[in-house]
Amino acid sequence: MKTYVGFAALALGLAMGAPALADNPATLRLVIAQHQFSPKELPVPGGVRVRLLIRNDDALPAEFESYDLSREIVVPGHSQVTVYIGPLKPGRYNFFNDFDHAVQGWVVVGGSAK
Amino acid sequence: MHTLGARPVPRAAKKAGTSPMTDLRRPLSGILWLVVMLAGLGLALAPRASRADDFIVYSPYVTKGQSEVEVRGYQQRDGDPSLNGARAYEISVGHAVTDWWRPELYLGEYERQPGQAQQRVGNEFENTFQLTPQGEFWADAGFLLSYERNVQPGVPDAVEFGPLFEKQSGRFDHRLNMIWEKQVGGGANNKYEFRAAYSLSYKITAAIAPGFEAYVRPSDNSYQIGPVLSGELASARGSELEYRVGVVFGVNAAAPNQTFLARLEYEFF
Repeated sequence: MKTYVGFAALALGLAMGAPALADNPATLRLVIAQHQFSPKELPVPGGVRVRLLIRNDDALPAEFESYDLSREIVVPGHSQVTVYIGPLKPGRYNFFNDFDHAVQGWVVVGGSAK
Repeated sequence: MHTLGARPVPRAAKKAGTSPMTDLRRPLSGILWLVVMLAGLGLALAPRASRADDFIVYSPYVTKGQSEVEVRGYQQRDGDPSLNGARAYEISVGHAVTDWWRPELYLGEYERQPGQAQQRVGNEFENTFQLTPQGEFWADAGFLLSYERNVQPGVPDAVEFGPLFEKQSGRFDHRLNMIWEKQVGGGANNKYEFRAAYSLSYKITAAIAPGFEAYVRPSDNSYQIGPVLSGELASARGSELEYRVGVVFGVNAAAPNQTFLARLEYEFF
């Protein structure tokens, strides 16, 4: 049974293993309106974790998705969600609306090519 | 020996939905984390008995206002007649009432044991709690708490609970569940049955995400692993049809040789 105790403790520890990184992160805002992200290019500081508030002003839900940022989250219509991203190296990180792939945007860190 | 007796069938499937999160969840998160740790560390010490199959890897994510209808099940194949042909399926509906709580009601759970007729097992009220926002910690965490009402004679009701984890990494998605089940009510034993499930998938496209799943049920002496294909078809209006099919193979002799898995879920606002 000690194995299971260790297993549970390990998983919990891994999940909570970076709380210091989440202390007082900068908060940035991204808006979805009229089926577009605003801003389309979101400047983000490098090397730190960032709290990103995504507000959907449209009536239809959207799905903020990014393979570059390892995030996928549904944003219901007229609602707001929170995700954390980073720490990121300088570069450009693509994100898109998975319900409408024509709607794209970029997180820009430090201005250099990824 | 793996046992498929008059026991409940697999519990709820939680798709890889995604979740909103507010600061209001932070105090709750701390309390529930403590509960999770105490439950995990304390109850893991208890002995366990045989248990029914359960082939799902829950996601901790909750999306406020999203509703779902789900059907899923499995069928086993084995050279042992006492295992061969066993199958089960269930139908559920759910709705996320907040951005951290999604209750789900299993309208029907059915199973068929080898050589027997199909029978109704019972109902289940299941709750998924998302504890942490996406990306705040190394992995995202949730908690599962459900009550299962059994209708079969002599089978007690049951409570199950445990932590759910998910980690997104590029196109890879990892999930880990650790669940404990305790019988309650008349005829209940005093044992806590443990099981764990892990999945890894790689999203080639939204509709095609191959991967594998592994299931550990020490109380059944059953260990299984195998390939799974999943995906989702989304509409511009935000509804999604998700599927998952696969087969897991018995790693040890007591586990069924093959268990075929299938799930279909419709999510909408």
